[in-house]
Formats: sequence, structure tokens, C-alpha cells
Amino acid sequence: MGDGRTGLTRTGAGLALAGVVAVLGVATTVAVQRRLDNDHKHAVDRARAAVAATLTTRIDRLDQRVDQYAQVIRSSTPRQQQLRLAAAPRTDFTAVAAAGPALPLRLATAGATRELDALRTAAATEDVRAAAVIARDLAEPAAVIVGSANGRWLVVAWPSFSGTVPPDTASRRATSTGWVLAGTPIETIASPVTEAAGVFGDRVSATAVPAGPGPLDTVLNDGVALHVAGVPTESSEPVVLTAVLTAIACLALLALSALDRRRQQRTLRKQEALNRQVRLASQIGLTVQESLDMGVMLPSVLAQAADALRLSWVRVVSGPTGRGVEVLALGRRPALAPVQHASSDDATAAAGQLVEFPLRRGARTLGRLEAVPSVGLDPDELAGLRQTADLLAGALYNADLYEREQESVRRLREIDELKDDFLATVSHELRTPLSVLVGSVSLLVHQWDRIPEAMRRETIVTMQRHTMSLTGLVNDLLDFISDRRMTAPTLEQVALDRSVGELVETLRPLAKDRELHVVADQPVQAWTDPRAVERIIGNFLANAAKYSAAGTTVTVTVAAAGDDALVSVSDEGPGIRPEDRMHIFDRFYRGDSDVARSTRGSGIGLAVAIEWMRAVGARLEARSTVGSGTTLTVHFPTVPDQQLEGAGTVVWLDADRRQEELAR
Amino acid sequence: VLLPLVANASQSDVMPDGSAVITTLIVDDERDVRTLVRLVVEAADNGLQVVGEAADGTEALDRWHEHRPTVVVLDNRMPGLTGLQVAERILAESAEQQIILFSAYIDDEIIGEARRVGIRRVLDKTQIDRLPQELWAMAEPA
Repeated sequence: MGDGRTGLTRTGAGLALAGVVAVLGVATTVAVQRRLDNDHKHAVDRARAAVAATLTTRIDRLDQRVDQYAQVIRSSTPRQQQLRLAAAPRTDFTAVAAAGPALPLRLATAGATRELDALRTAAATEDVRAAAVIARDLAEPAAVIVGSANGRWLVVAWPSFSGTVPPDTASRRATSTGWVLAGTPIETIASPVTEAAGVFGDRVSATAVPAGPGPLDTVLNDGVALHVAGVPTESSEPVVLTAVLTAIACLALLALSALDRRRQQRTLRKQEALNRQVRLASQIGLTVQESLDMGVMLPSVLAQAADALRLSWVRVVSGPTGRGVEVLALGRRPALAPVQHASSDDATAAAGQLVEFPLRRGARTLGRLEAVPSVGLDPDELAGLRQTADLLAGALYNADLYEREQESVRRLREIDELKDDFLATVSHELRTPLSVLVGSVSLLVHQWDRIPEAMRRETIVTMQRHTMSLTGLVNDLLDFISDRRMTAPTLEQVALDRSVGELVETLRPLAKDRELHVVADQPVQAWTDPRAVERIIGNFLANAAKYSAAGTTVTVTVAAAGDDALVSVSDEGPGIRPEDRMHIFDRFYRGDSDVARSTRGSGIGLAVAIEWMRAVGARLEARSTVGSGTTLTVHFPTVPDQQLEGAGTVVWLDADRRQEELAR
Repeated sequence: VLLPLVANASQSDVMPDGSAVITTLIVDDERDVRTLVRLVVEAADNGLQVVGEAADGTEALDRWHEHRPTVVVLDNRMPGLTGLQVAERILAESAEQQIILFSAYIDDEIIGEARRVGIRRVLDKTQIDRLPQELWAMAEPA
């Protein structure tokens, strides 16, 4: 009696609680149904992902517990196991699990991967059926009934089931492939059940039948009852446990769904951020790749970064840390922004904060990227900005290399053109005196008697002059060709007044119709290479004679000035135009003035002179007035190891401006 | 072919043996070269005569109009007009004018340009001793 009442009470309570599950199940079913109807595709996908994730976690935990109990049970005697079961509250999962010695081992062998596929499908369809599938896959029961206290329950059976339905299960129907008992009105349950059958294909056959009360075993667990039927007696515990596991899974599902949604949203946001980052990186990468021109590339990259990361201001500064020049800025810079040097990986940046990333290439810091986000940046977005900085660093480096490369290509091309001109010029310059010499010699040899004495003499003087200019030109060429291998100068004490005086006399024929004065009143000693004096002054003198008109005066002065010995060559020629001053000491440069065009020259004489000045530590002061003449003054050292300030350089002295150029 | 020569000869002196005197205009910016060319031409004597000298292109055109020489010995590289430019102007006026481009620097480009302009002789300056033969050759009917 007491037993019967207890049984009845228990059954009643069980049914009451089972009802809750059923209601939940049905509610879920209906909700899912509606959601599927309304927005089935996206909802299903999202739900699948969320449920699968939750269930995976739950199953992992259960697996762990099962393992623990496997240990406990293996080390227990049957009696101990019985006691343990008896002592445990029925709602305690652990106690239930301990009940069957064989059970935990069977569960432990269930493959997680295989379960998941079924779970995903089931979860998308309906949570209750998912529970049934978990139960089936975990414990391989013949059937699972999910019921409730109000007399409605769902039984899902599998084809392998061949037992008899307990006789006191009021409503039942067995089929060859399985059966379902349901306390729910058929019209409510039919649809999900049929759907379930469809989902599981030939593995499951589900049928809805009117339900009735029956002595199903009831396990209480947090107010949810699960009924298991059609199981052979000896393996009832595994099935019970299975049911419990199922219940827990169901509960977890329901309880965690809200949490899951939040987590899912977070995941989605993170995914979106990641996508944005990848998109940004690929866009920027592409832009960087496509253009080596910083002027084109930089604005595009900064605009992309500003757009993708919602930056209110961003700029690139090139140059070393703490200094540098702004290359480009986009947006409006906030008046005062707290600086954050985002170094760690988990750093974040608040809206309005100034974030700085160094632009590094190897050990070199090329500059920095500064940005102020208009919304807070999470670590991922900040990583995106860092990535942008890295790409920019590479781009800056490449652009710099490219720029230099272009510059050197430009220079080489320029030099190449100059060289072509130079070759034509030199060829002409060599051939003119040569042809005069050849013609003169031929004339004198063949026609000596037919030419008057005075003409013969004149011809020979002409030959002398052309021999000199040819010698000068050949010397220039040799110096020029070997200028990289120019032998070290042989420095010695040189009586400058005397050597310059002799040089001028030798070169006097070059002056032809110009007056040539030498002013060397006192002995002047220099510490230099006699060849340098000859080449430098010879070149200046040849230039002076070449560029000034007949009848004008060229003056060569030798003097001592402080510690220096100086030689100056002055002419009354057309002067050197300001625009030519920076270049006249460059190789091949001849200017394009009328004067330059109407005179001849190889364009290397002054470059060679500068080389010699550099070699012997002399410097040059140049003074020129357009229309009235040029004075070039060379300062030579006078004692060994004397360091002249600005050796090898040219200083232009002018009434209104002073300009210095490092001779190349 | 003979006609232009006859026309030229009618304006020039005639040698005692009846052949025409070949008159020459020397154009070169380098005075030494002009002097030398004159010496070479005059020393060769035989029918060759220098009628004028010019130091640049503009002067060359003036002298040419003035003397109408048999042959113009024309330097190419000069300040102002180049020899080729001078030749182009002369030949535009008188396509039959004999011109020797007498240059210190000759390459394929210059030779091609000379042909295009209508110059029939190009002589390297270092071959100045061949100038008399060239002058005589040019005066002979083809």
C-alpha cells in the first residue's frame, strides 16, 4: 500500500515535473517552428552553431565525469556501489552514474565527433529531439521517452528496438522500425516528429500516438523528468543515466541559450572585426604593392585605414623618433589627446586617444604612424592598425629605395647624355688642332718653296699654338680618365712665382691677341705638387684666353696672403652667369650661353682642376661679374700638413651674395 | 650638266689654257683653319682661287651672295648657324652650288644629313691636303 502510494506519489510528481519539460519542449518546438518559418536560414545556422558549441562543452564535461566514475566504480565492490547509490539523492547525477558498473565504460567509448553531427542536426530541429539523439548515441538505448507530468510525453525509438512496450503503457503502437508515444495532442507533435523522422532518415522512424499514463521510471533532476521505456531490465541503469545526461544537456541548452546568444554575438563581432582587418590588410597590401610612389600610395592607405578602423585623425611622420617631418595627415587632429604607445598585444585604445606605432624596418626606425580613433579600438582592431604601420614601414622603405634608384638612374642618364656630347666635342676638339697640324705639315713639306718666308713662319707658330692646346686637351683627358686612379700627389716646396711665370710664358701663344700680364713681385713659396700648379693654372689661363675677346687683358697674379700662397687669373671676358656657377666645375658642363656655344672646349678642364685642388688641399675663390670679367683665385698651402679651410671647394664671392658649393 | 659650269665660268676668270678658274669661299670659325685652307689652296695654285673667307654662317651667306664661288668649303660646327644649315639655305637658292662639307667631326648622321640637304662632298679636316684634288674634281663635268 505504502509502496503503491509512494510509487503513485512519485509517479505523480514525476509526471508533474515531466510536464514542465514537455511544455518547454513544445514551447521550444513552436518557437523554433516560427523562427524557421520567419527567418529560417540565418536563424538555423546561428542556432546550430550556438547549440553545437554548448553541447560540445557539456559533453566534454560529462565525459570527464564519466571517466571519474569509471575509476570509482572499478575500485568499488558491488555492495559499495549499491550503498553509494542508495545514499545518494536521486537528483544527484553522480550517484546515478555510479549505479551501473558497466555504464561509464560504455559512455566513455562514445565518439564525440559522431555525436556532434547528429547533435547539430537535432539541435536545429528541436531541442527535445536533440536530447533523444544524445541519449541514443551516448548509451545506445532502444528508445527514449521524454515525458511530462500532465500525461504528455514523447517516445523516440530506434529500429533496433524489438522489446515489448510495457502493457500498462496505455497508448502505444509498435512498428517494425520504431515507435513513438506521445501525450501531446497529435496535431501539435506530429509535425516535429515527422520532421525528426525526415532528419534521421532510415535510422529513425517516428510516429505520434495518443498517450496514456504508465509506470515509467522517473528520475528527478532539477524539476525535469525523463522517462525511458523499452529497455531490457539488466541495462536499465545505463538508459537511466543516458536520460539524465540528456536532461542535463537539455537544461544546459535552455539555461545557456541566453549566454550563448551573447557569446555568439561576441564571436560574430570578433569575426567581423577580423574580416575587416583582413580586408584592410589586403587592400593596403595591394595598394602598397601597386604603387612605389608615396605620393599616390600614402593617401590611399591612410584613407583605407581611417575608414576601416573609424579613425578621426591619422598621420604618418617620417624621420627618427621624437622628431621627423609630417608626410601626410588625414582628418582633424584633436586639440589634446592622451598618448598611448600601443605595444602589448592585448592593449586597447579609447575613443579620442592618440595611438602611436613606430614604422620600423629591421633595426631602422623610419618614422611613426599616429592615429586617433573615433570609437574605442579593441585589441584586434589595434592589431589591424599595427599591421598597417608594418605595411607602411615596408612601403616607406621601398619607396625610399625606389626614389634613390630613380635619382641615380636620372643622374646616370644625364651623365650618359653628357658623355655622348662629350665624345662628339672631344672628337671635334682633338681633330681641329690635329687637322691644322696635319695640313700645316703637309703644306710645309710639299710646298715649302712656293710659300713666302713670312707665311712659313706664321704657319709654324700656328702649329705651336695648336700643339699646346692639343697637349692641354690630352692632359685633361688623361687626368679625367684616370681621375679615380689619380696617383697621390707628390708634394714639395714650389717657388710659385717662378713656376707660374714659366708656365705663363709657355702658354703665351694661347693668349694670341690678348694682353697677358704676370704680376709676381715677390718670391712666393707653396707646399704642393708642381703638376697641380700646371694643370690648375693652365686650365684657368686657357679658359680666360678662350672666353675673352681679342684686345682685352688677362692678368695672372702670384702673392702670399697670410699662411696661404695664392695665384689668381683675371680676365675681362663675359663673366659667368649665376645659373652656370653651380655647374661649371661639373664634368662635361659647358653651359648653353651664346659664349659657350661660340667657343670650344671639352667641358672637363675645370673638373680636372678641381680634382687637382682637392688632391693638393688647395681651395678656390671665384668672383665674376657678368659683362666685365672673372677672377679665379687658388689658395695653396705653404707648409707640409697645412689644412686649408674648405680645401677642394669653390667659394663664390659676390657683391650681393655669397654662395658655397662643395665641388663634386 | 655642262650648263651651270659654263654659267659659272662666264662670271669667273679664265685660265690661259682656256679652263675655268675655280673660285672658293672658305667658311670656318677658326681663323687658323681658314688661314691654312687658304695657304693649301693657293699653294696648289693650278686654277684654284680663294675669293673670300667667313667666320660664321651669316657672314658665309653674305660672302656667298657677293662672290658666287664655284665651291664653298664649309665647316659644320660653328657658333650660330651650322654648316648644314648654311648649306640648306644656299642650295635652296641655287641647287647647283658645289659645296664641300669640311668638318673635324664626321659620323653617319652628319653624312646622312649632308646628303639630305644636297651636299655632294664631305671631307674630314685631317685630310686637308686632299682639298685641292677635291676642288678640281668638283669643277669637272660629271
